[in-house]
Amino acid sequence: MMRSRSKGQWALLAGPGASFMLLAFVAPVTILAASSFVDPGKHLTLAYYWRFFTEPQSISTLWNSLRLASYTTVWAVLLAYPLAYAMASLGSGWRNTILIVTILPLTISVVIRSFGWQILLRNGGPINQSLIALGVIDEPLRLIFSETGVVIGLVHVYLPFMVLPLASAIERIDSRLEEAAMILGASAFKRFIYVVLPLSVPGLAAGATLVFTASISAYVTPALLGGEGVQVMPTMVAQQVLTLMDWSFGSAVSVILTVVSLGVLIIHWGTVARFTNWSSRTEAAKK
Amino acid sequence: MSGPAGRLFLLKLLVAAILLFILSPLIVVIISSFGAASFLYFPPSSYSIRWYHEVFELDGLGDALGNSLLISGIATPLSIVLGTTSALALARYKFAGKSALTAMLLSPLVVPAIVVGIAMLQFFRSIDSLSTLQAMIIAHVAITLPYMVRTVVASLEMEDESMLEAARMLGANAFQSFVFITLPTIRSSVFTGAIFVFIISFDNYAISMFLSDASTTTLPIKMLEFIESRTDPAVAALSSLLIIFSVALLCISTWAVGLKRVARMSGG
Repeated sequence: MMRSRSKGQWALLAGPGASFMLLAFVAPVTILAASSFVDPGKHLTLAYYWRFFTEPQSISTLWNSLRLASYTTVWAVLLAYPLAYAMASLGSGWRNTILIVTILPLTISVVIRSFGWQILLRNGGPINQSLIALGVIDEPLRLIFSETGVVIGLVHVYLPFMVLPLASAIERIDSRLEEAAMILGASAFKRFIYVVLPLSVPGLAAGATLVFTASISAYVTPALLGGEGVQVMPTMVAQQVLTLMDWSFGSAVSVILTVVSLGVLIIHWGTVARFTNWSSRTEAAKK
Repeated sequence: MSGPAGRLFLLKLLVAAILLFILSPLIVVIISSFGAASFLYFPPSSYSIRWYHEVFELDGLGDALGNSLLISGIATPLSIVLGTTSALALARYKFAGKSALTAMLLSPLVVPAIVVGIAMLQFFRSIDSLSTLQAMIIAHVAITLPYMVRTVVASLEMEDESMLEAARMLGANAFQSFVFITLPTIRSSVFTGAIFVFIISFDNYAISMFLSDASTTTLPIKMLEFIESRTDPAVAALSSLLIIFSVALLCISTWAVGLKRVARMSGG
């Protein structure tokens, strides 16, 4: 490449972006993290972390976050598989339709989407009314301002993150493997369990990691669809900082949230992603 | 029902149901916006387009829209320039600390938005010389930059190196080979990246919410205020207009680079 004659060029190109990010992003986040270790008397302390891990309310908030992110991930997997499988097997018309419908909500503000869910899920809304009309329930279900509402909203927001990696993993599966299984007499169910499912694990893992980290970090959806009743880590951060003005404790909660979310990513990079990178490299080497 | 045809039918039915789930909150907002009653019902009992006239009377909408267009309009070109130059450095050169630089440029993708929001609030409060508007523009550039970097790096990796080699042998200088070879290669990704950057900035709520004050309220913040304070379908009409705007932008970017690359760009 142009390396030989252009020693300083990279610095010239990278300089503006790098220094901007250092000042506008790295500095604020580092200062915030640092302030969680300092008490009002400017002494180093772990008191805010001690408080978090000994306060039952904080622990239950962390547990809420982990639980809701897990539910969201499981539902996203269940809804994404049919879509991804259909994209690979139903022809280009279906493929493009699924792709467009999946991407479209990504370009629409989460405020508008939550507004739509508020209309759908409220007590007098169409879901509760039809369930009552059908005689399934007598009293409207508490769909909004509840954990159910938050999970529905989160699944809707982060489903594309699951569908897209899963679809590309399923599309990469050699169709002759499924044919061979069929010729050998495997039923559609067995073909899915023994061929498609194991070979789609890299896409599944990548998607699940993205959905989990994104939904545990989400603030807007829990705030709009969960209301006061559902406390998760991001809403706790906002409450500590904006309502209670407790910046130090808020910063400690921020650090814990970031560490949990990053931790999941790092575990993914260290295990499944490393293995799949390795297997795709050997595939490339064969070609 | 059994056999391959029956199973295919079931799969199609299931897919149609999931697609309906994805579209339902948008469809509901659009249908409710045509309700004639002054309280938002779904489905409406009678239809009218009166709320589309009312949209323009919403108090403070003009200012919020102006602020949003100003912030996203300034942040997008800044993100394009910083993102493209950084991407060129990452894709073209080998240097010490390259992976650290990559990690730093992409880090806003892995830090929760709420954490970025309060970190920037704390930081910009301590710097008196910046106005709220300037702080918001800087924040929007920072959170959109990773998307730009990722998109342009991906397109540069597809660039034909032998073309650059040929240009150099024929005596082209760095500027000429950039204009005649690199620019045509990355043009469409820069364009689509810019559309995504604009959308991400324009739709941002979590970070703007922390940084804005009364005079710099953005459209998503104002919309949430309307949703919480009004019970008529005017907000639904406004939301419908914004949905149409997003569909138009998605069509333009699909037309520019194709569906497959738009999907790759949006898929984390």
